[in-house]
Amino acid sequence: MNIDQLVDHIRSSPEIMQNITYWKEMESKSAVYGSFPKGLRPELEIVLKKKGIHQLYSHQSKAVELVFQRKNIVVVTPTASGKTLCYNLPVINEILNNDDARALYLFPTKALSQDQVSELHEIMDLLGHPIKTYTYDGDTPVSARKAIRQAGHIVVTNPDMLHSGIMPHHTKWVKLFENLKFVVIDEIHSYRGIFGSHLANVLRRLHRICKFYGSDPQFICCSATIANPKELTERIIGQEVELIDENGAPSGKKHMIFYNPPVVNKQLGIRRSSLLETRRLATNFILNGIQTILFAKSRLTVEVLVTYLKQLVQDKLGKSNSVRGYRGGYLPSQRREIEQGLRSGNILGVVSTNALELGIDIGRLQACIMCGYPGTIASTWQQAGRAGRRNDTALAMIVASSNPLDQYIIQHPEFFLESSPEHGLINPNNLYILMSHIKCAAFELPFEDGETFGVDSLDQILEFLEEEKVLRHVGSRWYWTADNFPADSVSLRTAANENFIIIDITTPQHRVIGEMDRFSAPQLLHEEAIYIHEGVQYQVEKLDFEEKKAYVRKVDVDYYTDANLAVTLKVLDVFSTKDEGKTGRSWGDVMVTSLVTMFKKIKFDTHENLGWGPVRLPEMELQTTAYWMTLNDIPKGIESQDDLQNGLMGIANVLGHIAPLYLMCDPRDIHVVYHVKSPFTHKPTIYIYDSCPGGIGFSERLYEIHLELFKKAYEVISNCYCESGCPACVGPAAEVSANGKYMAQKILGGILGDTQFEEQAQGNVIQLPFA
Amino acid sequence: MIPNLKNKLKAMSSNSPLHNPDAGNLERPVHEQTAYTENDGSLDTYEPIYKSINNGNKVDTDRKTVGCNERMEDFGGQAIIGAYGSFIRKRTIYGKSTIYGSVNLSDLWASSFSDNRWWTRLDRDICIQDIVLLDTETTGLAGGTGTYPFLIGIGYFTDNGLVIEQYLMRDFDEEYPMLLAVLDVLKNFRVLVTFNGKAFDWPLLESRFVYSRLRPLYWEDSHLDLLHVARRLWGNFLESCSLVSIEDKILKQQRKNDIPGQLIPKIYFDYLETRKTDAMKQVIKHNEWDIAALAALLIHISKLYKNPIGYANPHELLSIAKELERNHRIQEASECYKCCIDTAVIHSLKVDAKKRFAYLRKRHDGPEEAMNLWEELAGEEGSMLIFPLVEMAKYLEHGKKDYKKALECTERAIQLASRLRNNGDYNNGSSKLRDELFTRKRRLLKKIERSIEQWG
Repeated sequence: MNIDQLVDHIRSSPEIMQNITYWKEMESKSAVYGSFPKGLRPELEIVLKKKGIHQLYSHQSKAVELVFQRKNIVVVTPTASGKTLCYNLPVINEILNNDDARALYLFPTKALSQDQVSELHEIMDLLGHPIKTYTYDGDTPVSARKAIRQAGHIVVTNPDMLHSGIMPHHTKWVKLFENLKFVVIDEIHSYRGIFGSHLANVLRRLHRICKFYGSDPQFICCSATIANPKELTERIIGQEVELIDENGAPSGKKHMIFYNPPVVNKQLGIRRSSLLETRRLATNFILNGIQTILFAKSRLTVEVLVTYLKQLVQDKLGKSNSVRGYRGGYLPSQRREIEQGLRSGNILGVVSTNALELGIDIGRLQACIMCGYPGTIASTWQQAGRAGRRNDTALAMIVASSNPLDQYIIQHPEFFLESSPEHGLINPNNLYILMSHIKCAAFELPFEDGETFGVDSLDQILEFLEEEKVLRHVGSRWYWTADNFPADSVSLRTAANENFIIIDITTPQHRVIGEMDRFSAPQLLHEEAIYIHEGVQYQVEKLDFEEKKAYVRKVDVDYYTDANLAVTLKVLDVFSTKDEGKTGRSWGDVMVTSLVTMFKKIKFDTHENLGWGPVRLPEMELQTTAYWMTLNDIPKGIESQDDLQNGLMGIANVLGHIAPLYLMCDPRDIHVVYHVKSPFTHKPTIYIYDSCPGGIGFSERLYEIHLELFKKAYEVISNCYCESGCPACVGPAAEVSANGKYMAQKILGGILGDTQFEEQAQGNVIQLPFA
Repeated sequence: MIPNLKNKLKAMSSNSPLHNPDAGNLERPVHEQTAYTENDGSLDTYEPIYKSINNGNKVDTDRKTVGCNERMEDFGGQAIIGAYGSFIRKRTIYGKSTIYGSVNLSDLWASSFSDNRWWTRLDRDICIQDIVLLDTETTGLAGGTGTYPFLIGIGYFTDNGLVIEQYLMRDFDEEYPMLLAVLDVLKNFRVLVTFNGKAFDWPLLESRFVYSRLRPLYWEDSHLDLLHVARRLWGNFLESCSLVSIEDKILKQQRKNDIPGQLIPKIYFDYLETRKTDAMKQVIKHNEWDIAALAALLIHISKLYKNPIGYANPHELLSIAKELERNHRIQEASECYKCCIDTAVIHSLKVDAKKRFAYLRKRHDGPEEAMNLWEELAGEEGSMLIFPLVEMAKYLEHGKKDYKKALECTERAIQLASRLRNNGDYNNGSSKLRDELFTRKRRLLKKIERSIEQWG
């Protein structure tokens, strides 16, 4: 069956069609071309023609022209629109003009760097000119490093290596830094939140080093579609950029399908599990030979789906390697092998977290199924773009889960299709992040009095570091005076520094099979947890918390485990607070302590609870920023403490799901906690805090919009058809109790005032806040 | 820009004490070491570009640098003040008659220091005037641009003896003038001698020169890292080839009240804070000893290589023989092997020497010359060695054409191999070896058969 037949097949299957809430066909689009820019060397034109490129797309030619005009640029175009030429052409052109010229390419992952080098080598071969391109990362052999430092025209690396392997040794890279003409940052949209805040600081350090060696590189950046590519890029690189966002590349016909699993219990508002529905749909695709990529939102879902689908292909095809999992935590060699298998077509189905969202070359996939709304519009388009890269018909399907955000999107597809994708938010001045990089920067080059490093208050921080005996002020400079290497203790990817490693002890030869960040470990690697890796189940036998090692052994059981997290929150400092009459708004610093208390065993397929066990692990502490709303008086109709409790819990559940819509962030970036009587405000309070230590700016934004968010929560609850709570609004009645939904409505109604109540009652059209 | 910065900074400092003020062991009393140095501040072997002023007590009033007034600490050296700032230089002379452990410095001048490129593996033979010794004390071991060598010790040989010059920056602003002065000394010499300097001291200094925009020197093949030489010489019997362990085991020199190396960064930072010099003086002494040890080590090593039969122990003889063989100095290598075989007490050492000597003879003098050694090795009481039997079989088969004796040897080897396998030694009794032996046996049997047909 080919992809067009599959589309017809779906159309003619009523049992599938009845669950489809929306079917969007996007017509194919033909190419728009631009001219070869003046100044592009003729031999490059010849090489392009040899590659079968006779004309440049309009965005490519504009990019090259702007770079020739010494502008920084950011190119925003979808996957597979030939954006690599936007930077390769001007860079190679410059090196052909001046053999001393150097360029630095930054990719968020190693896999992407390797793709790039092979593509560059292909151009070099056709060109017949020795332009030396090397990847420099943790895998680069020590013996090769010296040559790369001396002779590499193009050094391809990642921000982590630049941060800890290159800049602290800048004196060994004199040739690169003296002659640095271009810094290329691909997938710049992926540098949001913590990673982006770190990268902005890494680049502040790069600017200092370049200045020291007398160079002033131009930045060429590429981004997937987000709401604010220009703003994000400017914040990251700390300079102005020109935006290029009209895409000249052609695209094939695309089907975007919104699928809502059928309701199985109307009273409880329970729908069939999105996971089981995804399995059913994917089975259909894969058994018909359609190469399919499945995106799941958590590592756990990935592994559960891989387990299901492997059973499937094993039965019918006699082998199970045609279905693979792909996520962070797999070893690099394993990932390379899977990427290769996808390109060659040996792998028919791959289940991935958002790890495969980025431009890793995995070749031509025909269909994409997203198990659950990916959380952001930008991610959804990126994931959907994984199908049908090269002009073919492509099919992308979102299978909604029962959480409110998914249900909102699936029932309001126009919201998804018409509104702008998310903003990339970063906070380079997050004090934790900033402080780490000021240390690294001082290690690299002493600070001079009056330097700024992107913040006005640098001198205060330098003085602080002097008090801490990390810096020493002599003459007009601040010198590093500690005997350690600060970059080693700063990880750009997470706020937590060290990962747990996972060791398989099934055979006498113990081997490392994966790793996990420090904050997730208590939840997923507690003793007796079932850890699923590549569809194989392991039970955690021992978690050595001190040494950060989890010892696991292969098991074969019919359940998985899910741990409960108990969270306490303490206000440390209030930055701003305001009394709004019925409510109060505040934002400030908080300390969040989380403790995994117990875990449940959940049976596959039926998802019933098979039992539980205690978890005894230390608390994890997180200092971050939060926004909080206090109720100044108890609204009418709330008769008891229980009423209040149930109502607040319902509101907190809804907020957790819809706040990301306002913040345009990933749902995992924030958390909601409620207190019936907060020890700090002595009133009923709902807190929303950043999940990143030090915060990356969400709470400040929430403080600005305050009640708007609660209006939206009120609409979601009021519009839900369930009787007394369901996973799509306040949560199941079993959790918030029978009156939870009603109490939540009461409280929100009270906060928002009667007028709002009346508008609702009359069924006025709700204004989308995003328009 | 950052709300409530002050409070946040305060919170950070109470939460994470970055600096551990525990430096108790720095306060212990210092015992001055004077045993074998003669101090002579007047000697000048090069023209300094700075005007020197005796003692650090006088301070140039024109200096703009903040804090220079506090820097009047007495390290027993000179404060050098130049156009770019000041620093301390301390000069110590170890006279020719100095004894360092088992080494007599005068040996260097007594013996002609020549014909040494074969063991230094440098691009030329070096003489004593070429050599500059270098050792640094740094603010950390991690390397990278934020690690500063705050004390640079340099040593060279003159007619007066070993001159040790130590350059100390009393604060970070003294780095540049200090580096200028160090560079000025180093460039007078052709060969750099260090201990672990290829991996540590030199790259670090090079990085400082680059940072200060000074053109670094390129030693390349004229950098002699004694750690590498020491590993070749003693690696097979010393557990550690650290300078301390070599001083103890080889040079028989024990330092008294030496400070442990890992405390040095802390002592320097402490000195910057408090300007107390007691512990720093120990660091300077430590560095001075390192330079002296480097000189003694160089002298000792060159003496061993110059006359191994006279000075080297059996272990060293074997190492030197290997080095000689590598340089195709077959005659001398043979003598060292023989001497090692004659004097070695440790059985495995003797066997190793015999084995190497036998292979050397086989290669250079022909297989029949090695036969005695193979027979000795194979014939020893309880010998489990297979290779001498194989070598004997090879020679008997192809050289002497004595197939019967060759078969005998092969069968003995087969027996040994299966015994080793039975004992669980699959390495020396590998099935690959056994297959080879059986192949040889079959071939020998065929040859014997054929010769019987022909003659018998």
